[in-house]
Order: sequence, then C-alpha cells, then structure tokens
Amino acid sequence: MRLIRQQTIPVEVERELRAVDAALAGEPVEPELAELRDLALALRAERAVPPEQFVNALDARLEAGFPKPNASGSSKSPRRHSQPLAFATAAAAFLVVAVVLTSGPFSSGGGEPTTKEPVGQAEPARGGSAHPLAVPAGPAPAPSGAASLQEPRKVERAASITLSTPRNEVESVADDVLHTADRYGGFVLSSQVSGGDRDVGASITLRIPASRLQAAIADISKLAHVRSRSQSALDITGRFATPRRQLADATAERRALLIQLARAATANETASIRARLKLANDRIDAARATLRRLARRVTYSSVSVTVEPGPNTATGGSWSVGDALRDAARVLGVGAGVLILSLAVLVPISLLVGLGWAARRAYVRHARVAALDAVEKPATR
Amino acid sequence: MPLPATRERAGFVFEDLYRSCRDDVFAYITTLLRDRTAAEDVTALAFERAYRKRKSFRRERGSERAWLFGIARNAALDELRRRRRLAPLLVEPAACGTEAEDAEHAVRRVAVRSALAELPGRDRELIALKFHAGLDNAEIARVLGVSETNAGTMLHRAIERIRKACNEAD
Repeated sequence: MRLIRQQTIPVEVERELRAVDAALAGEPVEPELAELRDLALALRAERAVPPEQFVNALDARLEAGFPKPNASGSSKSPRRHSQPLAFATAAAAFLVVAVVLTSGPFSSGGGEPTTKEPVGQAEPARGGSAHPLAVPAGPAPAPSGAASLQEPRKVERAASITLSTPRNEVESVADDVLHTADRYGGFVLSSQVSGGDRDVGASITLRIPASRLQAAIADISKLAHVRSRSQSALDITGRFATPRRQLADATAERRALLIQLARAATANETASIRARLKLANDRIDAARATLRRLARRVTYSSVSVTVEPGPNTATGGSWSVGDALRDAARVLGVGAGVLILSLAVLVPISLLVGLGWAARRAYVRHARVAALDAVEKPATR
Repeated sequence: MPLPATRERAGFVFEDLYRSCRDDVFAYITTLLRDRTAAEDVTALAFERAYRKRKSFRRERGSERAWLFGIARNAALDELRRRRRLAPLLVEPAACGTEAEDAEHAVRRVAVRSALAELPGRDRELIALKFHAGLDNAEIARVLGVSETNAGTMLHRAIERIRKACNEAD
C-alpha cells in the first residue's frame, strides 16, 4: 500500500464533495452549488450500461462457477503459466545450492564414516607418470618408463582398521589381533592395550607380509564389528634409484681403490688409499641399509588396528538409560545439524525470492499506473 | 462449481456481491478503457479472478466492494498495458442523443463527454470510480491505496478540472 498521508480537507472542498454525494443520492443541494449538481448528474449520465447479452452470458458463467477456460481461452492469465516456472526455478536453485554446499569445498566431512574406501597415495616414479591412487593388493601397476620395464613396481601398502567391541572384550580382541599377525608370518611393531573402567582400548601396529595382507585384514575384520577400514598403496619405485646409484658408485670406487692399493709403493700412499677405502665401504653399507629398509617397506605392510569399546556396551552389552540418553542427544544433535543446514540454504533463497517478488510487485504497480497515464488522448474509431 | 459454494467464510455471498456490482464494474472499466467490447472481456475476467480469490478476502482490509474494484482495477490496467504494447487505444464514438433530447442538455452532454475524454488517466479513473461505479470516498481510497482525505482531495481536483473544461467548452 502506498504511503498514507493524513491531512485535513479544506472546508470548501468538503462542502462541494458533500454536494456531489447529495446530488448522486437524489437529495437537495444548496442553490449556489446547482452547477456542481448538474455536472455530477451529467457525469453519471455518461455511465455505460452493460448490454443484455453480455449480462446474460456473465450470469451463466456465475451459475457455472466461472469454469476455467480452455487452453486457448483469452482470459487465461499468463501468471498461471509463470507460477510453475517460478517454482521450478526455485527448486532448481535449491538443488544446486544444496549440492554445492554438501559437496566440494563447503563440505566439512566432520562425521566419522563407518567404512572408508581404500585411499592410496602415489608418488610418480622418475621417468614415469603417477599411478592411480587406489592400488589393489594384486600385482603392482604396469610400468610406464623404459627402465621400469626391467623390474616390477615397488609398492608400499598400509591398512588401518578400527574395531568396536564390548568393553569387557577389548583385551581378548587385542590378543586375537596379535595371534593373527603370528599366523600370517607377521610381527608386532607396537602394541598398547589399556584396561580398567576408563580409557579402555587397544592400539596395535603390525607388519604383515604384503602377499598375505588381504587375508590378514579379512581375518582381523572378523574379530569384531568394523567401525572403519582403509587401505593405501604408495608407489616407491623411484626411491630405490638413488641408493642403488650410490651403491654402484661406491662399489666401483672400491674396486678402483683396491687396484690402486695393490700398486701402492709407499706407506703413505697405502694409508691414504686405505682411508678412502673405508669411506667407500661406509657408503656401500649405508646404501645397502637404505635398500634393505625400502625392501622391507615393500615386503611387509603396516597394519594399524584400533580396538574401541562399543557405544552401547558400557555395561557389558545391555542398553541402559544412560545409553538411551546419549542416543537421544545424538539424534537431537543430528537433527539440529540438518535443521541448521536446511536453514542455511532456505533462508537466503527465501530472501531472494521475497526480494524478487517485492520487486515484481513494485514494477507491476508502477507499470499499471504508467499505463493509465499513457492513455491521454485516444484516437477516435 | 455449483452456486452454493459461493457462500464464503469471509462473511459475504459472492453472488450478492456480483449482482450488486456487476453493472458498476462494467461502467468503471468502460470509462477506463473507453472500449465497450474490451470492457466486457475485462469485466468477466475481473469477476472470474474475484471468484477464485474470494477466500482471500479480509474484511478488516475494507469492504468486499472495494476489494472487488481493486481486482477490477488491476485487470483493467493490465489490459491497458497490453494494449499499449500492441496498438494505440481506440475510443468508441459517443452515442447520439435522442431527438427529443433538449438542445441545451445535448450541448451540455457533448461538453461533459469531451471534457471527460480529455482528462488525464488518473483523473478519469477517479471520475469513473465516483460517478460510474458509485463508490464512496472511503472505498475509492481503499481501491487506490491512499487515505480517505487524500482520495477526497484528488477527486475534488478531478471534478474541478472537468468543470473548468466544461465551462471553457460552453
């Protein structure tokens, strides 16, 4: 509604308006306002009367409850076409915003997934290209460089498993994990098992022969409920190149020094060659040690196993009132999160739609009045 | 939809409103459009819209008569907009008076008709609402979205204009 400005109406104006009303009502008018009365009556005489045929047709439509015209009907409002389109546009915008917010850079990923997909890391081998991130436990990826054709790729594999079990079974599950490592020819790199009323849990790091990794993981997964599991594969073929080159260089130098030593004539010369031989031997040992470490990373896979007490097994498996309250709080928290996310999407969209609606209303109102002003002096038909 | 459904929870019977306002709405729209054929279409459209929106009527916002004329006004102005985009408006020739009509009245009638045709659109709408639709000042104010005082002032100004035009013609 437009701005309403209250103001007092002049007495003379009010008097004349009253005279107009009286004239239209057929009441007497003051003699000095007779001209105004005549004008009012003349104006009313210009009132158009609807033709009888039109009146009858309109009456019939009223009787029928103003049935909707056909698609080709002239009175069909274009607004009715635009409303579904507007709703469809709003829905599409909502979906786009929802997708953008729930994926990509806006997604926080705060929740812990129950099962993680295998995630691998790869480093590009020298002279080759990077390999796919997820590398199955089967044969190593196909080589891409000419040098790589001579030997298989060196892939380091790792796995991480989180098991959930009743609080009183954490220690036995941890023992089973250790036995599994033994059974598959692996060994325990570290093990930490906590007991008591609080902080119950186990954290174990195993080394399992890479060739038997999948079977070991399958067995460990059977020990308790798997809360999460992930695997990774890292191509470290390129890391072998440097120590191998260092080993070759040092071996060649040692061979040359041995020849020089055999030909040495003086004591000083012999001592100098022996010192250089010692350095070459050290370099050979260091390179071999590096190669051994790398080979172990390929031969044995690292498996991290975490054993946690289950969320509803604090009292040995029975579901208590405390558990119910915790679950209820979790449900409420998730519900609140969903509500906040929904509001984050809906509020801006609603604001935009509201602004658009208000702008359209203002435009239509302005355009209507402009149309009224534009019809000043029509041509005579 | 059968007629009994026209009784509204808002407190009025649509059919009663239709019977009491049909001719007034037609007269108002005809004056606004200056085209009787188009006025028939727009009048029918206005009543159809009112019928479909009848549940949205709120008495606290004004009388049902003012509400109906608000709908009719929008329909008529939409028609004017549409015509503006398509072609210039044509005005129908005025009907000739009867032979028995007094000569003075005939001259007066021509002068009034001419003055009405020369009025700006907003003034002509006010004249139409007052003299052809029979709305009181409060209802005119509600239809135009202004205060009653403002509506009275605007109406008086329009009457003054047409009075002046008639006097000049005389």
